[in-house]
Amino acid sequence: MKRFITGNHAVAEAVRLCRAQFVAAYPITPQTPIYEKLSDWESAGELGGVMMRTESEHSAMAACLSASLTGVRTFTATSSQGLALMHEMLHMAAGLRVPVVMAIVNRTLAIPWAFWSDQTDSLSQRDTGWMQVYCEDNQESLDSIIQAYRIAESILLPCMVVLEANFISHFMEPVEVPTREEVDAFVPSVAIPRRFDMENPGYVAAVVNQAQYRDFRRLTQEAMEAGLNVIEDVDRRFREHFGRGYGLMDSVQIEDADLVLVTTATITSTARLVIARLRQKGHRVGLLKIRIFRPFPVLQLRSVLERVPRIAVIDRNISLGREGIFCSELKAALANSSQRHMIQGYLAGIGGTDVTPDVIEKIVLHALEMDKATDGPIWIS
Amino acid sequence: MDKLAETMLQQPRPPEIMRSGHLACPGCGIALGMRMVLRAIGPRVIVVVVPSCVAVTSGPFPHAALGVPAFHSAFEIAAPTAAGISSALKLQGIHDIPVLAFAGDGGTFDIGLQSLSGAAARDDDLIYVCMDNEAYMNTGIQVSSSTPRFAWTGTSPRGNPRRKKQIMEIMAAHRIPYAATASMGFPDDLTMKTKRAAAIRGTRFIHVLSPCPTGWKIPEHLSPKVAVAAVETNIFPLYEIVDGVHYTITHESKNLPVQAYLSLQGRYKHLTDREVAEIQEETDRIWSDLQARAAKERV
Amino acid sequence: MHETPRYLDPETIIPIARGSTEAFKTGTWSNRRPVHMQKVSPCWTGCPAGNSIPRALLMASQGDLDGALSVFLEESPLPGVCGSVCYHPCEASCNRGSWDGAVNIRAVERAASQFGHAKPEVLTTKGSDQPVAVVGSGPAGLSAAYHLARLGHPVTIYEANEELGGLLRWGIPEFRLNPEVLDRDLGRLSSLDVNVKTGITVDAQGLDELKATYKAVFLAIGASASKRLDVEGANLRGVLSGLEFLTAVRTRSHGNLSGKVLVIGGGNVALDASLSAVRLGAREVFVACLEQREQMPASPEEYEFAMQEGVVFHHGWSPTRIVDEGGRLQTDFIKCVAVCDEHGCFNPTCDESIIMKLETDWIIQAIGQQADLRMFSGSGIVPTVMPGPVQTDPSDMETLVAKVFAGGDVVSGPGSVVQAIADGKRAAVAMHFRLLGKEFPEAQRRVILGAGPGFSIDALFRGRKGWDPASVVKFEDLEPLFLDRRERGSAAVLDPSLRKRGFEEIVRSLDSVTAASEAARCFFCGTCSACDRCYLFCPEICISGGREGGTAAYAANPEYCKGCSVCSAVCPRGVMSMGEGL
Repeated sequence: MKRFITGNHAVAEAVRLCRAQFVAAYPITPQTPIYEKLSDWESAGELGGVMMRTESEHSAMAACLSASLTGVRTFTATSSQGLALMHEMLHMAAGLRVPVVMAIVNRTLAIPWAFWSDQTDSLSQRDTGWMQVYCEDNQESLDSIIQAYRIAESILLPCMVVLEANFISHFMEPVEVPTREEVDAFVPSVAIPRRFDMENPGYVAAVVNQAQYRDFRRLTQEAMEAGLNVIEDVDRRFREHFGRGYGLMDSVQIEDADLVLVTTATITSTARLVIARLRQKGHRVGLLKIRIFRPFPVLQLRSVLERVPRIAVIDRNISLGREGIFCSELKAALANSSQRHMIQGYLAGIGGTDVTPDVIEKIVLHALEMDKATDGPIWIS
Repeated sequence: MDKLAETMLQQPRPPEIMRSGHLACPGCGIALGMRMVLRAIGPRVIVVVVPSCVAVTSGPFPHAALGVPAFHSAFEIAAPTAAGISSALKLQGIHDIPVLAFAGDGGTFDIGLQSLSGAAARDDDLIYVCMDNEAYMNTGIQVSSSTPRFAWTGTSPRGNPRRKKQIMEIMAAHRIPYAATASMGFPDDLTMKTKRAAAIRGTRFIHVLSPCPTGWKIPEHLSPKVAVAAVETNIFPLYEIVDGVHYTITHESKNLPVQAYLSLQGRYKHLTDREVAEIQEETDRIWSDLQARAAKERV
Repeated sequence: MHETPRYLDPETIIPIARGSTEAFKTGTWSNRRPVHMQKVSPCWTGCPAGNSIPRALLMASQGDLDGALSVFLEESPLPGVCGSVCYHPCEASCNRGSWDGAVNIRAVERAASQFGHAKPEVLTTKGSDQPVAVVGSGPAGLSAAYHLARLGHPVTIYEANEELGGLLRWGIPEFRLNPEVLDRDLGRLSSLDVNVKTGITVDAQGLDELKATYKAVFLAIGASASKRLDVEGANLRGVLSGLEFLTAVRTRSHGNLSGKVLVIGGGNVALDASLSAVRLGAREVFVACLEQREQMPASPEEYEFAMQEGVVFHHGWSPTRIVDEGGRLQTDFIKCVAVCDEHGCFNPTCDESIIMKLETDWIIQAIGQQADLRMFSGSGIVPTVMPGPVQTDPSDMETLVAKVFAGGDVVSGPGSVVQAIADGKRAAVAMHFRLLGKEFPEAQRRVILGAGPGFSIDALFRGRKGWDPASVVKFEDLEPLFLDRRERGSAAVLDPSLRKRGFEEIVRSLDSVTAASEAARCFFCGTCSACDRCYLFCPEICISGGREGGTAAYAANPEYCKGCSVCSAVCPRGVMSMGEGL
């Protein structure tokens, strides 16, 4: 049934519906409403799981990954500084092959101090081995949590569902909240491998040598690569079951486009309007929303953009010393493209600044006109 | 002297949990302490270890020195790791497998103190055993906040100017149900405390002094003797704290002068008479304070 | 059938070590290895009879007085007697004496004999066709008979008196050696092939007959002829001889002694006589001797008892004459300034200018005993050149007469009970090997305790693995940090006011519980008590054996032992030592 709720609330609903057994968390703006909502239900006996109110995010992830290792379904959420603090633990979780699901509410990283939306916090974790899903709106946030449990527990890799501060976290939208029965039918009951066996005791994460490390890494990479199929499969079944789906990415009017604008998250929904408007004005432009960032869908991306001569990428993030991260990843994915592409990166919305339709239009028109792309990003405000 | 023998001879030997072939230094106090704690708790336990000499001792893949399910987690998170496993077991309907975390002094007094404090504040259900060899020994010999005053380490080469952190007071301040000191020179006392801890719930903390031949500059065979001397000189008294306020001294020491302990160790060989006197004074003060607290109990 | 892809198999996608570190043979790290080698203790080597004191006390400490008694019986037939009257050189050398008081070993031995039940063990039957005779049933004779019988020999004891015991029965008062204790010890002989012929005095001719009848003879008639003072008046009426006096008291053939009694002498016979006089009604009893208190050969404990009962001591006096003063006896003394000369030989120096006179009703001379060998003149036992005690070959105790051996006071002059027991044991083994045609000293060498001369007959005939009797564990070898303090336990002593009423024993036996508790004070130096400390403190968990290993011998698994020596350092008894070699 449709309810008018914030993105944070939607995430919390999904966590409860998926019967998460163990939630360890630490408050940080703008994640706190998720934490509070779950606490509320827990104290009323409505959560169905236990919460551990940790003294830091680092400890929250430590507890989640060890609980997941033991074989229970876990959840945590954080942002910005908290996510940065968790960094060590993120590597551990992926290396440990535990299906922890985490919601990240994108927030700027200090210094400077600010509390608005920016994707650098979650993107900084791209090398940790976590799957990453970037959501466009409240509905997708809720649905991605549900999908995430099924994906993570199939492939035994942790998964973060990323939603932007303010625009998703605190904005209210009509959200279809599924019933318990619907979710139970979709997310299987907990069958996470129990890595502690009294009958056959083993010492988990014993120190390995160089070659052993390499081999374990390679297995994890194989899992990541196989993860793409799992993600697609789960999304397809989700669509069959719930009537909505999102795919690895979403393309709008790309087939004949001279230029494709590549966006993620909430900027996408604004961009949909702009692309439609520009088409009306006669520009042959298209839109590509990147949803799944890790594992990065190289083949699918290349196949969609194969024949597109111009590509403009909007990043609400920056890897200092280079450019926007989605742009870099896209360029790398197209390196082996059979065709040459002119790819221009744009930075918009850094620090949580508003990315209005006009800003997007300015970007598209600029990209259509330019003779040569710059290596570095262009800052648009 | 044969109180120990009487206790042991009256009971059959419990099964050993630790295995031979581990890679600890010869005469390692930690290896011995771990062995004693594990045989006291028995085979039905899940163990958490973190980077420290404990982890090195536990064995490289695919060999394990621990004969029970175990997990090697990160340096500063022994406590929340154990807490996570403990919660998960209960969620799975398993209520009779304790979770025991071993950490070194670095992982307890320094980098792990925050997460330990968090677990203790929540009274998470775990047994936390600090194997204290009074410095970062796994990485060479570097000073920690557990290193006693005046002791030599590689990063306090003229003697440590700081005092040893009073970890028991810190744990007591959290009002956890049980905290105790133990020494591998007194296996019956250590066994009693481990079993006592295992019989209750909540955050239980055992501080085990673990002499280190390599870092303390003592001959390999001397760990038990040094562990005994530490207790008999009141430098490391054996006591329990229940609920953070009820103190019980579990061994009436011989009140030997601190020299009987310090003179055994190369890390103290540079001490001046004045420094020894200061150590004696500080030891006397803490011991006397401890006795006063314990005396209040008996009234 | 779907096979799990390799990147999804929980067993192999993360490192889970299911193997054991036992694959690492850390024994290669060092070539030092512990050696579980039992040793001896100062009490053990200090006991002339060679009693395995720590082994006996270990049993006793565990409440096993039967076992403790068995251990004593391995080396001596008279644990009850020694437990009452021995001068306990063991306690003088007890390592615990350097800590908080020697263990009351003698009292534990007494309790073992009192409460324990055990039979002497036969060590071999090889002597079965070699019957032997033993002349004299004091401690030397009894010990020889006992051990010879254990070595298979049919033994016949010839005793001049009507009952066995020699000085044990006739020379030591009942208040010092309870006759029941002696009889209990003697009772254990009945399980051995020992025949007894009492009321037979063997003289030179008798000795010839014995030589013809038996394969060997052991002469142990003791030294029970009292020396008499060589002063005027030594034969006056009322001047008694110490040992004869004591014997008469034992046979109840001595009447009361009223009035004042003077005992001359500083040995146990003198003190025994003084205490007996008290019990026979003497109003005042004096003891005068050459020696100062510390120099007296008498036992310090008995000195205390005598003081408690009002006996008055005069030290450093030499009697010069005895005179009858109107029915009473007056003894004149001059001051004895030194008992021994600069060579340590008995050669008293006196100052005639200092005199003392004591007037008493009775005088008991107790200035020493010697062997009475008159009956053997012509037998060849007594050397013709210089009359004196029986001479024997020190290596095997044989006299000048072939196949006649001798030991105890008859050879050494008055000595201790335990030394006589030692002599008897040594003679038994010497005789046994002689009769079998073997060399005794060779065999004995490997079972000598410490520097000797004590040895273990049990180890000699039954072997004893993992034991080095040449190594003595001294107090310096122990670790004081591991030792607790507990005061020495004492046996109950009869109140002095109650003693005079009769000849009741002054020192009671410990009860079995207190005996076990006192025995537990023993450090068991050099004897493995299976305390499991080496096992428990091994960081490599590689020590096997001990009480659950089926054998007492602990051993380190060479595959894992890193040679750290912790086991050796924590062994409170010096049994685990370190050695070399893989």
